Amino acid sequence: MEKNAPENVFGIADDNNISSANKGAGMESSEDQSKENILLENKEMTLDDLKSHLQKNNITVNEQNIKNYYNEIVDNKKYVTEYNKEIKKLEEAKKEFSNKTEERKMGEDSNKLITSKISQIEKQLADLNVEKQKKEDNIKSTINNIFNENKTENSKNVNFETKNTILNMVLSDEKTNAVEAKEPEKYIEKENTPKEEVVKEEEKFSSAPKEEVIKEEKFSSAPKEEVIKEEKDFLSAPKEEVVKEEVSDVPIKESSNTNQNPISNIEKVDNSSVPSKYEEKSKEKEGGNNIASLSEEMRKGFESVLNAIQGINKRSSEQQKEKPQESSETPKQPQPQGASDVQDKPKTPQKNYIEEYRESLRSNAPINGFVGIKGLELKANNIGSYL
Amino acid sequence: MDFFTKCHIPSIGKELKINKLCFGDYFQLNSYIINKDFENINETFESICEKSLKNSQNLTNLDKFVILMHLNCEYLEPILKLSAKDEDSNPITYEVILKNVIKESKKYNFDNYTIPRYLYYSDANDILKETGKNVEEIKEHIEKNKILMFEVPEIIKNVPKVYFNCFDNSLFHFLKLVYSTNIKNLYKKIKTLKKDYNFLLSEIYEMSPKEMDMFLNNK
Repeated sequence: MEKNAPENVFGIADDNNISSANKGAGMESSEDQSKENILLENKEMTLDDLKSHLQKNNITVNEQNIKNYYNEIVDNKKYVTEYNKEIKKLEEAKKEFSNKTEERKMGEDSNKLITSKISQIEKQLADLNVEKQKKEDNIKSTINNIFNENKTENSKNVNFETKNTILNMVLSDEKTNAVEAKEPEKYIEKENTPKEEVVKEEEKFSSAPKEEVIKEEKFSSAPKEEVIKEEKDFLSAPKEEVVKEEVSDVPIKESSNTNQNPISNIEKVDNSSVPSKYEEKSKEKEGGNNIASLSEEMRKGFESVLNAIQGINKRSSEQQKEKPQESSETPKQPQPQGASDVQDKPKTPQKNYIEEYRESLRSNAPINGFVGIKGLELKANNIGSYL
Repeated sequence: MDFFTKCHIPSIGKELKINKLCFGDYFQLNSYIINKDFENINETFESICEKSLKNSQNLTNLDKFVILMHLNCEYLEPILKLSAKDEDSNPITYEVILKNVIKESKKYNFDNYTIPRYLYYSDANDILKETGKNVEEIKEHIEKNKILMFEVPEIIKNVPKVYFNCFDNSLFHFLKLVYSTNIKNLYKKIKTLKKDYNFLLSEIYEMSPKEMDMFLNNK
C-alpha cells in the first residue's frame, strides 16, 4: 500500500482498534478491560482462591463438596482449553486455505478442493464450538450448584455478579489446577496427542482422538438439566445460536493487505442465491434421462408384478368357487386403475408396498375392501337421493 | 423499460429522478471487485451514476455514494448482512439497514466546503489539488463531521465503527462491500436466461437485477 494513500492520510482511526491478529478477541469497553486486569492478576485460580472468594461473599459450603465442585470445574476446564487450542489451529488452517489464491487460479479442480476443505474446516469449527459451549455450560452448572448448596439466609442476597465473577475467574484463566486430579494420565495422554497433524490433515482430526475424549467426558459428568435450566435464567447470553450460514456459502472477504481501511475488517454474508425454482428446473432437466431410464425399469418391474398378481388371482379364483363373480372382479377393477396410474406416473420403486399388496391379495383383504367401498358408494347414493 | 425512483441528493438538497440499475453494470462491477481492480470499480461507479442521473458531472462523492446506496436498496438488497462474533466469540450475523445509512448521510454538514468528486483516489495529493485545502484543514473538517454510518450493539464484536469520511476512500470501500456478491450466481442467471428463455445478451444486460429476479421467480 502506498504511503500517500488517502486511507493513511485522512483515515479515521477506529476506536476499537481491531488489528488483524486480535480479530477474534474483538473490541472491549473500558469496564471489560478493568475486569480483565483483575483477572490477569489472578492467573491461577486455586481451591483457596475459590474458598476465599466464597467466604468474602458469605457463602458457606461444605469443604469436601467444594473440592468435588472444584475438580469438576477443572475437568471441564481442561476440555475447554483443548477445544480452544483446536479452534485456534483450525482457524489458522482456514486462513491458510483462504489465502491460497494462486492455487485457485490453477484450475477448477484445485479451486473445488480448497473450497471443500474450507467448508470442512468450518463444519469442524462449528462442532467444536458447540462442544466447547457444552463444557462451559457444565462449568456454569457446577458453579450454580455451589450457590444452591448455600442454604443460609444470605443465599437470597447472593448477587448474580458474584456468580459471574467466579465464572469469569474460571473461564478466563488457563492454569486452574485440580486438587486431587481424577486420573491424571488421561490428560497427559490427551496433551501428548500429535496436534500438528490436526492442522495439516483436517479430515483425520474429526475422527481421531477427540471423539474418545468426548465419550469419556459423557460418563464423567452427568447432565443436570434442572441446574442448567436455572442457570440459563441468570446467564442471558445466547450461546447456542451458532450460525451455520457461513458454512454453506463462503463469504467474500476483503484482504487486509490491499487496504487498511476499517471497512476491510467487515465481512459480508452473501445472501444472493439463485432463485430456487429455476435451479430446480435445470436440475430436473439434467436428471431427466435418469428418470426416464428409471421409469422404463419400473414399468418392466410393474409388468412382472402385475403378471404375478394375475397368476395369484387366478389361483385364488379357483380356490374361491363360492364367489366366482367377485373374485374375477377384484383383480380387474381396483387393480388396473391403480396399475395404470402407476404405469403412467411411476415415482418411486416400492418393493415393500408390492409385497404387502401381494400378501393382502392372498388374505383376501382387497376383496373385503372392495365390498366395503361398494357399500359406501351405495350409502352415498342413498344419502344423495335423500338430499 | 425505464424505471425511475426518487432520491435525495445532498449537495443539491432536492429529490431527483434516478434511472434504474442495469444488470450488466452490476455484473461488470462484480468482475472488477473480484479482481480488486479499484480504478475500474471507480469508473463503473461513475458510469452507473452518469446513467442514472443526467448532469452528474458536478456531483460530489457523497452524492454518488447516496445514489449508489439508493440503487442498491431499490434494485438489489436493502439490508447488508455482516458476519460477526458475539461476546463469547460465537459467529453471528448482524444486519445493517441501508436506508438508515442514507438517512445518516443527510446529517453530514459540508456547507462552504469543497468535497472531492470521485469515490476513489489512489493518491491523497489528488484530493488536495482538487479541493485546494491543506491536510490539516481537511483533518479538522473530518473531526468536526464525524458521523457514524451505523450503530453496532456492544455485544457484537469484529464490526469496526465506520464513519462518513469523504476523503479516505471509506465511502468507496463500503460501496464495494455492499455491491459485492457471489459472481457464480450472476453467471447462472445469465445462463438460464439465455439458454432456457432465449434472451439476448443485450436484453439481459439492460434488465434491472430486481426485474430479473422477479422474472426468474415467477417462471
